[in-house]
Amino acid sequence: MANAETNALVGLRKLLPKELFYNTDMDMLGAECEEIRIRAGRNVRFVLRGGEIAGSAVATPKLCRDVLEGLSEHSAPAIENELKEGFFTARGGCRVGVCGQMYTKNGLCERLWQISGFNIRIARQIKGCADKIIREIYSCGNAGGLLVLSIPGTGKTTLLRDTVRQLSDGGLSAAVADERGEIAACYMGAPTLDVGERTDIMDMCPKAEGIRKLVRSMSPRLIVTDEIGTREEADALLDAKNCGAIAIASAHASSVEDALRREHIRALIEGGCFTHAAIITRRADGARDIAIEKLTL
Amino acid sequence: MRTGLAAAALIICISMGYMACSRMRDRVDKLNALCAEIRTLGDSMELSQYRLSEMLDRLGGELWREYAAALTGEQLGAGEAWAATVQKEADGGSLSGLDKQDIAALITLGEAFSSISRAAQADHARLTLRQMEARAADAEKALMGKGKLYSTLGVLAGFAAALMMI
Repeated sequence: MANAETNALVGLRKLLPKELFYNTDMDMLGAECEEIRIRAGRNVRFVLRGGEIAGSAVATPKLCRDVLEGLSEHSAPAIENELKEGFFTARGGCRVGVCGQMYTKNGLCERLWQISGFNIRIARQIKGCADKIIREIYSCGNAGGLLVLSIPGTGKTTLLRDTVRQLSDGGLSAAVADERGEIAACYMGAPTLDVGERTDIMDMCPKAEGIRKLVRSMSPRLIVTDEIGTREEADALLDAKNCGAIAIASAHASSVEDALRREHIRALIEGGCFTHAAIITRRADGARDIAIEKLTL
Repeated sequence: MRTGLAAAALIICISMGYMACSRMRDRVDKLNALCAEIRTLGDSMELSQYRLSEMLDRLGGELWREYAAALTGEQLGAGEAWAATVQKEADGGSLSGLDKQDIAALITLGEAFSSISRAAQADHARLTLRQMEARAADAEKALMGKGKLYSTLGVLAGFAAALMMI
């Protein structure tokens, strides 16, 4: 699942403190790194395709502050609401999970401060990784929706991105409800990752609302979203399907059987929203396999 | 010859008085301009969700351009970069003419830039604004009193020197 690969590590290095990468082989990281884990008081760890290495930098409170400042481009207050949710998207589409001390008021999360942990997921664009899907599902011209399944961190978003890119470049108008800004990685309104010539993006909008708005206003043939997780999102996707759009979405599950145990996914499949599932699995060496199953209930 | 020297002494003393006065006026103008910019910045911090670079772009002046360059050029924290920029601009740049306390007050704005919450950021900006407004008011008062005194003293000293020479 790799050709024409680019990743956001090059851009990220400009934002992150230099000491994070001391004594680290950047060529190897550039090709292999999938996540950077920073935990207060511990060595920085680089999660690679086939393992993990520890960096020499120790995450002091100052380093954690510098990481936040760098990734937010000195604008942490502008992403305060995202921080409260536990993640934000850095330039280039890298999702950054954060944890620390949460200030609560009346039982509600008000503000995250004293941030002590980061999980920086390196966004990748692998052009061509969806070739198999395009060949086996969409080349016939009358296929329905696609559900991409895998456990977290296996490449669902990368596969979705390339699928929509290829279908959009192939002539279908597409709309992406990109709640976390990971699919298109919009910066100042423009996508920084290639999602195709005929793709409209509703960025950072709650998925259910984004899907409904896109169907109403942009008349897409394809509606694409990441990580369907709630009944409301599933209902919005079903509505989109009933309006004539083809749904392409992802969900956390290791198999179709697992996915069917989740009520809202089951409702989507029963409602005819998806005709095929693409299940991504990861080999021990970090390479991915994609299995395509026809969904019948 | 004596008349010429007396005229020169007169002109030199008067211009020295006016220069002292204009330095004070310059400081007042700079402080007032900074107050206006910090007020705009504070409003942006409180009411909008602009990134820092966008806020600085909107302000436009030399100080803010230099600060934006310091943020992108070197891997400094926002507070450290602000302190470095202000010091640099105070040494012959757009902030020359401000006194040490003005510069120290202005550097406290770095707290706003390095805050991680909007409320704290806006509070820090307001605090700096209050300090700068107080300094601008003092400078204006000093200009009204000492500024006039310097110009008058310059004229008087000039005439006295001219008379003595003649």
